[in-house]
Amino acid sequence: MATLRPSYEISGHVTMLFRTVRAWHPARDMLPKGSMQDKRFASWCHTLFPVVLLCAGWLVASPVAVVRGLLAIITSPSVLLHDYLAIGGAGATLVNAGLCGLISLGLLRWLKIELSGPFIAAVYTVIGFAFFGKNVVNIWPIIIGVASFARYQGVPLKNYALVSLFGTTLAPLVSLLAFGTQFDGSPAYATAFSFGLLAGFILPPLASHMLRFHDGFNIYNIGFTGGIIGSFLIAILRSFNFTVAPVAILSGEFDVPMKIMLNSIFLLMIAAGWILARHSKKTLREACREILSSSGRLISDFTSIGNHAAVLINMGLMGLVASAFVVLMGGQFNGPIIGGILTVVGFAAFGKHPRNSISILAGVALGAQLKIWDIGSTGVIIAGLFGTTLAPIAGQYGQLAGILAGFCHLSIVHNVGVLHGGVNLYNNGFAGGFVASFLVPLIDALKREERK
Amino acid sequence: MKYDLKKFVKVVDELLTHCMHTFDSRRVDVTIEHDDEAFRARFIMRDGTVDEEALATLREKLEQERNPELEDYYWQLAGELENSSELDLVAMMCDDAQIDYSRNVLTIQVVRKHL
Repeated sequence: MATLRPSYEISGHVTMLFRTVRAWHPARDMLPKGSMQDKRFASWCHTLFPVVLLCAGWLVASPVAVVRGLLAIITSPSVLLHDYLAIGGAGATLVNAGLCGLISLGLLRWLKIELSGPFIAAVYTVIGFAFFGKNVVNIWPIIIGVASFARYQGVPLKNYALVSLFGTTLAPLVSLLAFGTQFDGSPAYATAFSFGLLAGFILPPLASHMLRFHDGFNIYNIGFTGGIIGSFLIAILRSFNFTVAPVAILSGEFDVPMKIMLNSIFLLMIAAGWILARHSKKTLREACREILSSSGRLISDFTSIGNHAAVLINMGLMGLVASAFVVLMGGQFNGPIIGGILTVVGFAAFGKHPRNSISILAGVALGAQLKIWDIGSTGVIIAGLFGTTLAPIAGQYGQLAGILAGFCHLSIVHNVGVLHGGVNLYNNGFAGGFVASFLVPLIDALKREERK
Repeated sequence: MKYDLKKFVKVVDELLTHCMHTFDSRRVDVTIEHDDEAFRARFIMRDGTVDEEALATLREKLEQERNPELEDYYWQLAGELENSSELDLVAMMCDDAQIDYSRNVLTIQVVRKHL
C-alpha cells in the first residue's frame, strides 16, 4: 500500500517561488528584512487576485468590448443597484474590478503599508464593489477628499489610508451627480467632484466617532458613517428638487462562469494557505483555533491573532460558505452578489469566520422565510452576505444572538436605503450600525451576571 | 498629534479594565507621568488571579508595534467595554510596553511618545 509522505518537492517549489517573486513582487520593499516568508507569500497571493481578474477580463471579451463596457460603467450613475455585469459586460467588469484592486494595492504600496487584516479587507471590499458601484474614475474624489483632510490635519495620509479605501462607499455620489442628473458637461463634473471631495474630507473624523455608536459590533463602520453622510447630503439635494430614483439593473447572464471562477479561486486560497502553513511559525491548528475563538469585534486582525496561512484558509472557506448560501437561497451570481461574497472573503481577514457568521446567515434565511420578501431575490441574499457585518454579535453573545441579529437586519436594511438614495454602497453597514446599537445594549442588559 | 492626551487616557482605561476584569484584581496602583517626550503609565497589581495563559496573551498582544495607520481611526474603541479586551488597540497606541510578573506582583509599564 502506498504511504503518504510529506511532499518536499512542493516545499522546494514554494521556496523557489518565494525567491522568484521576491525580485519583482510589488510588496518587496515594504516587508521588513528577515520577516517571515508567510507575509511575503500572502501579500503575493492578494496581489495576484486582481491581476487574475484583470487578465480574465481581457480574455473573455474583445478589447473594443472591454473599452466600450468600461465607458458604459464609468458613465453610469452607479447608485444601488447598478450591476456592472449588466451595464458593461463581463470583460469590462472584471477589468474594472482588477484595476480598482490594483489601484488600492498601489496606494498601500506607495504609502508603505503592510497588508494586515484591515487592509486585506479594504482591498477585497473595493474589488467586490467594483462589480456594482465603484469604478476606476468615481473612487478618486473620495480618496482625494480623505487625503485633503490628512493634509489639513498635518498627519500622513497613511494614517487615513484605511478610511480612504473603505470611504469609496460613497463613490456613487460622484457618478450620480456627474451622470445621473439633468445637468451635464463641466458643471455636472465639477459638482460631482466637489461633493465627492467634501464627502471624503468629512469621512475620517465622523468614521472614528461613529465607532462609539455600535462599540465595534458593526464591522462595516464606514458603511454606517457613509449612510449618515449620504443621508445628510441627499436630504440637502432633495430639498432643491433633486430626485434619486430607485434602480435595480441586474444581470443573470454570467451566473455559471462566475460561480466556477470564484469558487476555483477560493479553493486555490485554501490550497495556498495550507502550503504556507508549512512555513509558518505558529501551527495551523493553533492559528485557526485562535481565529475561531475571536469574537470578531473591531478590531480583530486575524493576521495578527492567527497568521497569514490561517487567514488565507479562512478567506477561502468563507468564500465557499458565502457561495453555498447563495446557491441554497436560489440566487444567481450577479454583480451585487459577487460583491457581497468578495466582501465576506476580505473580512475573513478582519473579523469574520464560520463560527460567528453562519448564525447571521441563518437568521437572514429564517427571516426571508417568514417575511414579505422573495427568498431568492438579490436584495435578500445580499442582506445575508453583507449582514455578516454583525458577526461580532454572534461571536460575543452566542449563536442565538447571531440569529436574532440576522433576523432583525433583514428588515432594517430594507428600510434605510431610502434615506441616502443608494449613494452609500455599504447600505448593510448602515443598517448594521442600527441593529448593533439596538441589540447589543439590550443583550448586555438582559444577560445574567456571573456569580463569583 | 490630535487627541493625544485622550488617546493615552483610553490606553489607561483599557489596561485598568483588563487588570480588574481579566485578572480580577481588587487593587491596582496606577502612576501616570507626562513630559515633553512621552506619556508613561505604570500599573502595579498585587492581588488577582494571573494564570500563565492570560499572562502570555498579555505579553503577546502588547509586544506588537505602534501602528499609527490604524490608531487614528480606531482609538475611540479602547476602554469602551467591560467584558472585552482591546489589547491590540493598546499596543497600536503605545511605543513600548514592559510586563513583569514576579512574587505575585504584576507590573505593566507603557510608554506613548508624542509624534
